[in-house]
Amino acid sequence: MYFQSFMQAFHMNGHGVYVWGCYGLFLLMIAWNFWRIRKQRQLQLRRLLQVRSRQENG
Amino acid sequence: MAHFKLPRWFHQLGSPKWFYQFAGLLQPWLALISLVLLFWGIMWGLLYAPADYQQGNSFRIIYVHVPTAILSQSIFMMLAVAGAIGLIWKIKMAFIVARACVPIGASMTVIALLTGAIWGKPTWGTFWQWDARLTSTLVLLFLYLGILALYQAISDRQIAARATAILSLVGLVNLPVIKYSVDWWHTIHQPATFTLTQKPNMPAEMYLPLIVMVSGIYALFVLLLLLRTRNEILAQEGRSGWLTKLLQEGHA
Amino acid sequence: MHLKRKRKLQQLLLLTVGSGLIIGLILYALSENINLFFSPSEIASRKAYPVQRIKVGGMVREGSLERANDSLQVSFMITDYQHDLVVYYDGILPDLFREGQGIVAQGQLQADGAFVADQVLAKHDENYMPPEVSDAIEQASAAANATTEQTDL
Repeated sequence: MYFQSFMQAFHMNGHGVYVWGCYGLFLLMIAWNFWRIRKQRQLQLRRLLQVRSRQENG
Repeated sequence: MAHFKLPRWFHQLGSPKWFYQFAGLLQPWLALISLVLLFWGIMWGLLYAPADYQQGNSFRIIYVHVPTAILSQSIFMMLAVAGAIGLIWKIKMAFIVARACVPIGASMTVIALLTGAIWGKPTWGTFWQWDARLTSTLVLLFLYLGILALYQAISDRQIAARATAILSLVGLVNLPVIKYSVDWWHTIHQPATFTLTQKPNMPAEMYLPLIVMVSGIYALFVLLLLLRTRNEILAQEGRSGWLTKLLQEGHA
Repeated sequence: MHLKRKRKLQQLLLLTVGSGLIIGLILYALSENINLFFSPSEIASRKAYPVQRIKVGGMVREGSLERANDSLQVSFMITDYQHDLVVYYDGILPDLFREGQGIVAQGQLQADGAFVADQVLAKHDENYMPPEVSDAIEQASAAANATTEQTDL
């Protein structure tokens, strides 16, 4: 590791907030993409099941 | 040009049924590849890569800023090319892929802008300057948002797909402006570190993690694109027999 | 290729190239306004001194930085290696401010040709290096200088 301790890696000579913040935002963006896709997929599957049951019943 | 024919796999990709099933097969592999590469790249960039002699540890932001900035531009390129293919060959799948690109590209642009601003504070001393590179990247975000708004505003899928394809082709002009802004004008943003013709202005211990991150984020993009495209197929092909069959078998 | 498709392709090419041309011309016309700052040469070639706040940018000349003993006042010279410009500033310089590195300063040009800045930003270049490597390079060049000095003697 480049740093001597985890405290040092966390603090990064005062740049910790900026660096960890950026990596955090990056992970949030990935999470947001998967969350949106999952929600959309569930919505579509539910809709398709409704269409099917309507076709079977009617 | 007269005898120009698209290859067979292209037409196979153009079939929603074929695409849906093929994408389903690829997904776990892409998920594995992008997870491994991104985890490796993030750990390397955050904890193992050396700091910069001028910027110190804030340099580590490069490993998320540059990959998202590259993707924000190449996704736009892909979206415009897919739109053009849709317009010329009237392939529905091309429009579907183009539509799936937009939110992913927009989210990459947002992160490129935000990480750039955060990186600017400790290095330049400011979050934002209206310089050509920063402003043209902001324009790229507005193009993405404009395309999204156009999809929302036009209820007819076909018309919306064509209108956005044309907007994205016009927006293509912005890409060379972003790329060459740092050479054409005085900007606060530095010129490119990596060029095709010259050796990178960075030692291997600094650019190798970057290569890992860029590959990882490309894999992630393909994965997100396949997932979104499958969702879009579900939305548009709801009545197709093959989908009903997949649903009945529980394989959708 | 089908004739219809060929025509469509031509239309789209025309659209892309045409809009590119229009935007290119607009950018070319606005070129001076798109520049974030003026270089010392551009300042030197101007006959009238603008009264509005402007930005200037260039490399900080080696050895030109002077600090006041009792305040934050500093003065330094920026250059584009053709013309120089003296900059006065009263405030905290950014961490990356160094002689030989680029800066962008915002402020007003004085009648005597000096520039009084109220904000100084650091520019950095496209080169990145680990600290040990830059130390090694400095030591090597110092050693090289020492040997040349010795041979001079």
